[in-house]
Amino acid sequence: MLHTARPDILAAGLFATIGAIGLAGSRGLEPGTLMRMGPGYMPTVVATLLLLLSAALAARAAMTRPGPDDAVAWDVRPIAAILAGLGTFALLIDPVGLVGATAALIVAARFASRPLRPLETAALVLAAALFSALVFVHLLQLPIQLWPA
Amino acid sequence: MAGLEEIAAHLGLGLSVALTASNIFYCFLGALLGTLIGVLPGLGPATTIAMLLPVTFHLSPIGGLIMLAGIYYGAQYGGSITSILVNIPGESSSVITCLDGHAMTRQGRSGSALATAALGSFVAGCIATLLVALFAPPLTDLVQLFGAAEYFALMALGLVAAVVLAQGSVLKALLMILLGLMLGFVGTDVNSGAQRLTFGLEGLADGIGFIPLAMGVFGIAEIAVHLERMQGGAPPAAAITRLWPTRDDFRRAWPAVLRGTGVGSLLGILPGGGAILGSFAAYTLEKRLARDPSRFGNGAIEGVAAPESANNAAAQTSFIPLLTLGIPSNGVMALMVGAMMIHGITPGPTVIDQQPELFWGIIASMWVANLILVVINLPLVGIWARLTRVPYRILFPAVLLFCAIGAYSYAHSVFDVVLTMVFGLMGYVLLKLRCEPAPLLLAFVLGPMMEESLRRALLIGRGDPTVFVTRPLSAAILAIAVLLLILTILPAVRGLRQTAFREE
Repeated sequence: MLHTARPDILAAGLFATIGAIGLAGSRGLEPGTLMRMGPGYMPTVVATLLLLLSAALAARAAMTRPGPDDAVAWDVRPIAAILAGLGTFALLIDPVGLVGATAALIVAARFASRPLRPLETAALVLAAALFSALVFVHLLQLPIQLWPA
Repeated sequence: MAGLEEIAAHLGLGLSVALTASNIFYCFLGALLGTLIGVLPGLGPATTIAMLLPVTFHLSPIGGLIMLAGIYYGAQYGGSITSILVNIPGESSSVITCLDGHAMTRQGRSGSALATAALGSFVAGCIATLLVALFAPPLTDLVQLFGAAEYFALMALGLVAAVVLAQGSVLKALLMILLGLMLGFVGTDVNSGAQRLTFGLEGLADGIGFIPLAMGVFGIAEIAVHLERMQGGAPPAAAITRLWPTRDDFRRAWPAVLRGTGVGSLLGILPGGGAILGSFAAYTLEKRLARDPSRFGNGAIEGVAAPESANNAAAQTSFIPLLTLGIPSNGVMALMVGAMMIHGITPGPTVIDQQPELFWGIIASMWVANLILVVINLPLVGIWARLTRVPYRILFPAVLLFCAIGAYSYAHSVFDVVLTMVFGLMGYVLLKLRCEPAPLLLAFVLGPMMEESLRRALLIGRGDPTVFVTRPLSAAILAIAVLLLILTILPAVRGLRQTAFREE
């Protein structure tokens, strides 16, 4: 587990980065005038405000002493497993179909919690694949392929 | 206010829509699914709605929206069951119910607490439905006078209110709003056809999808945070005792239900308000009024009756600004806007004139949904209680799978699944850094509308920014917004706001 003090400074960094990306992205856009705003007008204004306010957030965080509640405990395992599950689903759904993608998502997601319990996982894969084939493909008629083409 | 006959005619029209066999079915299905998922620890109304949105897409607009409203009320009620039996608030508006609700469970009075929550919610729902029917038409008439400047002012007020009522830091809530606006810009600019902030990605040409964003920040992020907290596993749910409240419970609960309904109805209408604030305010009021405040936190039935009625009333009246102005007042309403737009309906004052069946049908179905909830909840509460014991390690992969299938199937797009991942990660980091996601979603939905009315107002005013202050209505609304913002930043008010959100 990682411990990071000062979540506000991290948040300021994150917002500032997004503001900077937004500012860079609106540079090629026509700003226009106040009367006839171009496509770049509002994005530039909002990105600038993002940068200014994140500076204010960072300044405020730097001036206050970190309190006991200020530490954020990061536990990378669950979020990594969840993203891996979604990622494998995205990779497999078109080439392999729903059943394969379902199995991959559930196996990957199960790594979020310990112990792994392989039997329970296998049962869950079966149940989930059956359920989603019945409900989503047969009942709701969603245009999803079940098996590899 | 509308006349009695008029109200009866409107509700009659609404009931004729809501009581068709298929719409009752969708309403029932929504309430059932909502409760089913809402009762699972860690899945609140926003997550439940985001997850089930795609299920409603192939329905007719009215059927889809009725089902979504049912899901909303069901999820909220499901959250109360978890609060009372397991002491885990399923959502932020049932945090306060944990205090006395779970205390009652520990005293072996869980049945009384559950029945009070269900009956209180039903009473609140009936009254709030009438209020919506009463106030929606005159408000709609008023809104017809609005020009672009007033619309802009009103949306600005909505965003400011979201900041004021968000929990935690005002500065961070403002930043979340800016981030939401930024995300709303992505895509093709309607006026010039220019690609904005798409960074050459073809998948972003139509803008960021509402589904991936909502699922990411409300679904994926919440699951991850919840998993971290739940590593030890959930505590077992308590058994349910005799369901009917005692005569003494009834005597104490009734006035609390009515007061809660009043407080909740009022706060639900306010932009940014909604269920959370309503339940907190109602609880505080009961504690103030009580002859013996020390009972609170130790199983006082008023502590269940008032906040549960308040959050249901607020859930209902928060539809008023959405239906009349087209402006969502909180995160869940922002989800409803997204759903309406997907169904080809632009929420706002024109809906009531052009699609009266839809408008009154939704309002009437609110009442039907409340009735259905009482009917399915009281007898089935044992089943719901058993559901709270399903381990999270089995639940969350299934929830994740439904999110993935929903994101993919809406536009048959792998890119949307990838976007869901991106927003899930972003939402997770932001949640960990104590930034509330609701203002972000609100700004994302309001952003494009705001930009449009800002541009139009300035064009009509020939580029003179004073149009916003020289038109009296717009000036008044903006003045309220500025005042609210200043008040929030003042130290004295800030202290008050912190106490309002602190769990007692």
